[in-house]
Amino acid sequence: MSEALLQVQAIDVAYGDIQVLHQLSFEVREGEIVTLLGSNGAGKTTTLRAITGLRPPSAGDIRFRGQSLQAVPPAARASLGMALVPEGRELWAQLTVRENLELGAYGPQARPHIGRNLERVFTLFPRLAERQKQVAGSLSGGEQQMCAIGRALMSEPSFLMLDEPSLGLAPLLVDQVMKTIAELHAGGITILLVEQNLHRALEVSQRGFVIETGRLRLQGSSAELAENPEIRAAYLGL
Amino acid sequence: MERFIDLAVSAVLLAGLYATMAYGLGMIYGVLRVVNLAHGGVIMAGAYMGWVLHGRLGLDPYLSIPLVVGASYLLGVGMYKVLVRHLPRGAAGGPASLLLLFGFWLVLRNAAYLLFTGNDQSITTTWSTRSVALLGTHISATRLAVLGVGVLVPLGLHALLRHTHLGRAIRAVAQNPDSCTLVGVDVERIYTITFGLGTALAGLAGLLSATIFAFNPGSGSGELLKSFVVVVLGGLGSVLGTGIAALILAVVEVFAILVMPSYLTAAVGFIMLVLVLVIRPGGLFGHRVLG
Repeated sequence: MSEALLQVQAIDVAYGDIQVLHQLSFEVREGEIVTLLGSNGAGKTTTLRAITGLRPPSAGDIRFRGQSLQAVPPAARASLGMALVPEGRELWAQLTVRENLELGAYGPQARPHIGRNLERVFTLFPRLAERQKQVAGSLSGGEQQMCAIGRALMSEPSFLMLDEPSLGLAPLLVDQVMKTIAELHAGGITILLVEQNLHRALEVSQRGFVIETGRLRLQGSSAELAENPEIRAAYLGL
Repeated sequence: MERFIDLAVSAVLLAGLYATMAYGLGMIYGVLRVVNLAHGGVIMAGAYMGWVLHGRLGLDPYLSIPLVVGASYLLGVGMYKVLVRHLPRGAAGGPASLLLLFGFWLVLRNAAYLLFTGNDQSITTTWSTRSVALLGTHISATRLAVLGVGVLVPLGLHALLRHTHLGRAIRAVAQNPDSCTLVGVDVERIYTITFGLGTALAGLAGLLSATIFAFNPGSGSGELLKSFVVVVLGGLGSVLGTGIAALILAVVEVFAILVMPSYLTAAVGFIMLVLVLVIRPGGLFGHRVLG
């Protein structure tokens, strides 16, 4: 079994007085594609915000490649090789597609390779090449999702987190996004996928965790989770 | 007709100054969502910096531009690091930041009273009284120089914002700071630089204004008001919008002399501000930030 790339160790995260995550622990190993599952408000997005440093944990530790992230400022974490495709894309709506992508390579280690990575992203999403001079706010939902994934890829991450990438997309586009995620994983990127669309998420991933009100509830291989009666009842409506 | 051309030329020349003045205010608000009420105080401070450099060291005000801009930038960085950084931002931070920055203005003003007394001053150089014949009218050389700087500086900023990594990061922070952190932009650093740049522009505007108008430690409130009018009219940090809005304000002010007593022309900017807020609260050119 390969080594742990990301170790989340008993973290607590609170917004003011409201504690969202309680002693949450899990691991993602090098080369894996893992899904973090849970209903609305379970703490999935908060978990990703803790990993990226936008909402640092009040207790516990997060390690990336064995190094504690406590002393790593959020803006320096992209340079370690992690990238997030945030929920709701969070693009810079008034900047062009190309500017959005170029900013994805803002970190010192990524900047020299802007040209090469732009080409990679445009090969992956030819639509973005056509629209590169348009402002991102004028793109359709699917194109915005491509742009958000493209922006995250511009820093050549070894670890990619995606927060509800299928949210608000038509089924055909969801297929495309999931296919892209599978391709990126096949290309060697370790992936942590956060989804409400449990069915699709378990199809594409190898393992999964279920969190409920900020606590780890269940974990197992995707096949096991898909067969788990509790999950089938709670999330799949079966 | 000659009178008309005279007035039109004065309006255009004044517009360059107004654009420089307003751009700093718009930039800081656009990126940090903080209304820099100390803007007028920094304009006044810029005027005194130029006055001291000219009076003590005999430095021509146009040669002292880099010094005044540099000093004002550092003043802005200091203001951000010591004061503004600790304030709540956006709608929630409104009252706190307004009061604090207004207080800072009072400190600047009273420091100037202590250092320079309340007397009116101006910067007069050997070429202050020279003029250039153009379009059948005579244009003062200083006003022409002010216009030149007032056009070049916003164009330079536009190039910075459009074509550099730093500029793109500044525009992106204005729209979505969290996404900036995710791609490795140190948002605090961008806030510091932006506050410094906005303050540097205010200092520059003060220096330019001092070569045309008299000033004293109480100066700056009229300039702040005019900056507000231009920002509200022209949008936040849109270079073209700011330029056009500055021109509109200058034209209206200058031509108001024809129809109302001169002591009322100062109110023109205020009337325009109210009209714009009522009729087009989003500004003449929509909501684009820093484009």
